[in-house]
Amino acid sequence: MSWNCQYNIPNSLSVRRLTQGLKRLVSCTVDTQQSIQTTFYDTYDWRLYASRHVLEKQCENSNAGTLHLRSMEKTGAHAVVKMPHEPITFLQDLPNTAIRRQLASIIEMRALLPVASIRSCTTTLRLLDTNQKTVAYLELQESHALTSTGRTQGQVIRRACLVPVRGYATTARRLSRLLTEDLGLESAGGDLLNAVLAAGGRRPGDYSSKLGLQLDPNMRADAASKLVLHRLLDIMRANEHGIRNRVDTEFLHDFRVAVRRTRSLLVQLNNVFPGRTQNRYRRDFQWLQQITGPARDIDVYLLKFAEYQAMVEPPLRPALAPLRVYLEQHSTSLYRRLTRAFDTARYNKLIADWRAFLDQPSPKKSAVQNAARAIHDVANERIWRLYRRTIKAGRAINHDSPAQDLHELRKTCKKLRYMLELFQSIYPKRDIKQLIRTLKQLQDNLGDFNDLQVQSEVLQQISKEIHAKNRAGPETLMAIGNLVATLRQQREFERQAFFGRYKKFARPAMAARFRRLFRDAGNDARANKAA
Amino acid sequence: MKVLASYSIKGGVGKTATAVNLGYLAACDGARVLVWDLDPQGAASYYFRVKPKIEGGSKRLLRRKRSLLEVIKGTDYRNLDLLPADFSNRHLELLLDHGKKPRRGLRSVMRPLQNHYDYVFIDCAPSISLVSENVFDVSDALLVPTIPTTLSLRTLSTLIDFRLKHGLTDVQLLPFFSMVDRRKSLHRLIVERPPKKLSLAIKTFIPFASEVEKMGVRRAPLTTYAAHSRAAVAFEQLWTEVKSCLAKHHETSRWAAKSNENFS
Ligand SMILES: Nc1ncnc2c1ncn2[C@@H]1O[C@H](COP(=O)(O)OP(=O)(O)O)[C@@H](O)[C@H]1O
Ligand SMILES: [Mg+2]
Repeated sequence: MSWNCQYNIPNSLSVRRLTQGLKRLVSCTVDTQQSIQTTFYDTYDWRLYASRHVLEKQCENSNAGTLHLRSMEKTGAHAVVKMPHEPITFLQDLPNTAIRRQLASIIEMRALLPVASIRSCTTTLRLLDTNQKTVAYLELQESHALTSTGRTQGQVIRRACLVPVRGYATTARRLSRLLTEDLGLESAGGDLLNAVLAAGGRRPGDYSSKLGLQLDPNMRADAASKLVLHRLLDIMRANEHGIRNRVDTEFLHDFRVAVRRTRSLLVQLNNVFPGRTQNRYRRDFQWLQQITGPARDIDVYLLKFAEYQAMVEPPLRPALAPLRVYLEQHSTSLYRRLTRAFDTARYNKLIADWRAFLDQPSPKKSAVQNAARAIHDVANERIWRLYRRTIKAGRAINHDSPAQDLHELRKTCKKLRYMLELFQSIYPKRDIKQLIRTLKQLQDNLGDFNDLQVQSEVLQQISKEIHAKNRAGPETLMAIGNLVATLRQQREFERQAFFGRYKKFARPAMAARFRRLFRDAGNDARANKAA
Repeated sequence: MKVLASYSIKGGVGKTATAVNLGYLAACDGARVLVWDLDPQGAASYYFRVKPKIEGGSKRLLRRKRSLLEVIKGTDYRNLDLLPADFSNRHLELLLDHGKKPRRGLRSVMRPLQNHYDYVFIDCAPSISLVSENVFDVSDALLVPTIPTTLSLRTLSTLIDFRLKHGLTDVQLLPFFSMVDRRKSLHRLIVERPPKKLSLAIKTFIPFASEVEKMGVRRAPLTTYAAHSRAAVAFEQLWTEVKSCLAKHHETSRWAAKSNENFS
């Protein structure tokens, strides 16, 4: 069933008159009126909205209530769970029911945050058949958006929501016709959530870790780079409060990705900005990346903890608990340190100077060699060079190569990946997506290999530390040893998988595509200019 | 998805009362529940006020021309759906017998339900037949309401033997006492000292109570109109016990849930 099932009730029509009108046309009963407060939830990056889902907690007066997950498109399907008083933030806070399983694949590790609240007065009509069985619901709602302090804001939103009952599609369709044709209601053309967000002045998708820029290929390289860097700076800033408040792990993650991309751009785009500028910010962002690293590392261990537990032999699993405690304690102190770093003069000066630099219009004439060239040309050169470097290094890897070589290759791949991603909007969409996808497969493999290496080393280190400080018994050390052995095994597995992934990446069709997009296109442009 | 069949070789022991009330309680937990009325008499459909007729007929259903999902009806309660009775048992029998693997016919018919429901309660007709063999094949557990009389105990022991003889050990057997009348000394005696052979995992028993009989008049689950009655409380306890038995017996259901569940 996919017709729109929400209608606007015109201000001239009272709920009472509407109810009376319906009663004359169909057999129905009216449930008692309810005053309900509804809070809508989503993740900071709007994962639910993006997947066309609505998660709402409905309460009558008190804090306890029910949690509903519904699809914006398909009517009827609906998961509900009774909620205790506690606030919900993470999946783990929910009882293990259908709703949690459905949410898991959408929100993953992200925290649920309230995005809007309304208070509504709802009259529910139940359409009955000859057995007095409910065959459709019609909810007549008058709602007010609420501010964070609980005051109403904006105009009253008046809606009729048709909720079909499974197996009674004909009835629902008939009721829908009745509402529009006989009673003159108009389709609302969108979910209630949209109206509520609009009333509260919020735009869904106002944060995304994606770049979402459309660059003109002929733009000057310095101006185009500034646009990209500006966007990356905005992403960093948008995540700062979430890191300070430790809302979830992904704030720091997105922050760090933006920092790394910024650095990568500064390094890759040589001679686009003056050398002194380039050097200063390269150094500063490297610092920023360094100070945010340790907290992220621990986040990763904590996120993977369930996986780790599964890697250890069952009888040893409980013995990993002290490791978790250790990680959590460390995490707390590292985040505290991070917050202090955000308050330092160095950080604030960096951000202020960087923004001022990015806000400056590019000088008309620049002594810097690449500044005024088209971004397309500059990006082409860089990407082509990085591609060739990747191929050369990849070809040299064999079964005996030291881990260091794979590590270096991983870094080159990452640079290539960032360049492709940051400038993807100036290339044909299908081509670039395919390149990024294949590159990602190779990079995931190299990344996993590296992570497994680092993780087993760090865990061994932690194990020593826990032992030295006498914070756990021998079973814990054994469990960690067991875990490290599994990680090593997996690492070897990744190493074996490398060759297949690399072969796929280096295959002639891919090479031809790289050549066409990044080398020949450049030659064509030059030829055109010359002619 | 977990499949629970309310099953007994005997009629009038409380099978339908069990399927309807436990189904309702499971839905109250927030689980997505289907009650499948597999008894041609259609008592479960009647309690949920659903007309027993399946449009297009059940023949096409079993011949895989239609998916079960298309004939499911929503009830008056959230998350609780019903698959109405429209099979004459003989009919179903013949059709199952027709296929290549008659004992597994129901399994393939039920496959599409897998990602849509957390629990399926099957309300069976009283018999041991090809249909019941199919029910044994698809179920995680059989809920067997048993009236505490000597005759019923013998019937139950027949069932226990049947399960062992046919190697149907994947399905958990969960008998419990039903319609227990404390005024009857035999009932009291049996409930207090059930025969060892039965090794009853479930301690809760359902008392004989007029509120349960009223389901026929109310046409609604017991809890909706007599939530605090002894019988309603007993059904709640029963549901809690059944859940913990399920959790103990199978870490995963015979119907492994796919990780990527979709809305229907
Ligand atoms: N605990 C109970 N107390 C009193 N009457 C009951 C009880 N359980 C069931 N009944 C009544 O007994 C009859 C048979 O019950 P039912 O659940 O339909 O059994 P079955 O499905 O095994 O044939 C019904 O009329 C029902 O209302
Ligand atoms: Mg029955």
